Amino acid sequence: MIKLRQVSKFYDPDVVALNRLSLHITPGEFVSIVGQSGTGKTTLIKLLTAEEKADEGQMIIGGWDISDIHPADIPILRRQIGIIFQDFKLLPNKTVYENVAFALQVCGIGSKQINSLVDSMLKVVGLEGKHHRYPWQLSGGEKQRVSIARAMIHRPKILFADEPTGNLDVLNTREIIDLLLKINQFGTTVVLVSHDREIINSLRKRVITMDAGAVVNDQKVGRYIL
Amino acid sequence: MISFFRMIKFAAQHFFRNFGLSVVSIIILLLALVSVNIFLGFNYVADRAIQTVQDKIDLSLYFYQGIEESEIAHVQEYLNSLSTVKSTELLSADQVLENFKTKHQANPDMLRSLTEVGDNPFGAMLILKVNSMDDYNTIINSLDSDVFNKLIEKRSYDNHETAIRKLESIASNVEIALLAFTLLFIFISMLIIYNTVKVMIYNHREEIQIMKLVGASNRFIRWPFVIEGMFAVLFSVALTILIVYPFLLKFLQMYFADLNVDVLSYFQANFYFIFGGQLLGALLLNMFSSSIAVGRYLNR
Repeated sequence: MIKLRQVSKFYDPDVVALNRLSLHITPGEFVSIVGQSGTGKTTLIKLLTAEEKADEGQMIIGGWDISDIHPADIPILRRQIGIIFQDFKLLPNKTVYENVAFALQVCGIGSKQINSLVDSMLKVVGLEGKHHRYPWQLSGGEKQRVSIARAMIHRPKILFADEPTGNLDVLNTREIIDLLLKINQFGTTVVLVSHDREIINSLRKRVITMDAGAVVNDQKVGRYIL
Repeated sequence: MISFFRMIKFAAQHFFRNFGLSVVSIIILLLALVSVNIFLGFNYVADRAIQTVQDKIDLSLYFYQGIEESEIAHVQEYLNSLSTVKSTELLSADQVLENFKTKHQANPDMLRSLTEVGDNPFGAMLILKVNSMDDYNTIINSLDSDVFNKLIEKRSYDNHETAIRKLESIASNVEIALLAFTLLFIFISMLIIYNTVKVMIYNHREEIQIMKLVGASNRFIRWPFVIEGMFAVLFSVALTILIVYPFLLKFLQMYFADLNVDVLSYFQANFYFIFGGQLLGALLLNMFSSSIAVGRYLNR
């Protein structure tokens, strides 16, 4: 599903964000990536979502070599993956419904189909009856649910979650992690970047530990070790 | 087709949901457009004022007493055939005398001098209007021959030559100044519109990034912003018409009534050219500015 071979990223000749990083994630896995700040976790997600380009190495997602992806192909890649962020990244002037529907509208899907898909997705994430609310009318947990609904609306094979619980309280954090587990159970590969030791330890899933832009530890049923 | 309608829908949503920002954009566009129209109005007034002064200056040819009507008619015919001559008016010796009496009716000394002379001391007179002040010299020169000098006693232009030259120089300076100001004004308006669009897009830079992350193509992100800008242009041009017509033009009309300048008619006669041109110009400028401004964030 995701294959990285000797991938490097330099911000300056002296600043190495990723250093010959290699990893392999198989379909349906739930992988947590941990590490201290500045170890290259977010850079890794940015490369995998084509927000930035790698300077060296090869990156393959679902059989597609995106190492040197053409700018015109980036939207196509992003329609096949889901991404959620710590700061939710919702469109402030769109309602809950519109934020989720937007991911389908950009693909040119018809309004009727969008209606039914969005309705059922909002049910799945527990936001029934909140269709017409704007992001500023929602709690942090609700915003992250909208973000998850938007990321999952086109049923991607992979979901990247970059610190999705960083802005949430304990209760909401648990709920969001449960939602990610549920998504994983349905077959979606989940790549979770997190600092939350308790959450990582409770998952009992694969944990990749990064340091200085490289993988220093990779355990099938891992723990947060730093 | 779905995408096209969606882009318009997104633009409309954006426009009305960011109403504060939209109003600011409209006001800035409105100020620029109203300024352009005020300038156009004054431009027209200045132009008409110069034209009016030019029209008031004519060239009078005084014929010797007793010149045959047929000879005068021959001169008139010749002058009418010149492309530089706008019109000619012939006054007979009797009409010239009547005009003299009317003009000096409050001056008994002048009237008495007429009685002393006895007969009508005046010859016929030909009044010429020319197309441009530059043409006076050409006409005078064309009349400077033995044939005409035998018939024409005096040319009134001689007395006004300095004044006409001065007016000519003022008129040409005013024209250059108006052209320079118009170009400057258009340039400033273009800068204002360009920067307004840039600020508007800058406020949406994070949204553009989010749209990209969700998989929107550049076209799908760019066009709603461009269309949103078009809405602002349409509103501002409509408001400009509503403001310019009832208030500014009527004000100009009243203020320059003495000059016999009809600004309102000028705007009415050139309505599509003036406002259509402004609409088209502002739309093109807006499309250009928003494409560049959005593109800046799309390529990041």
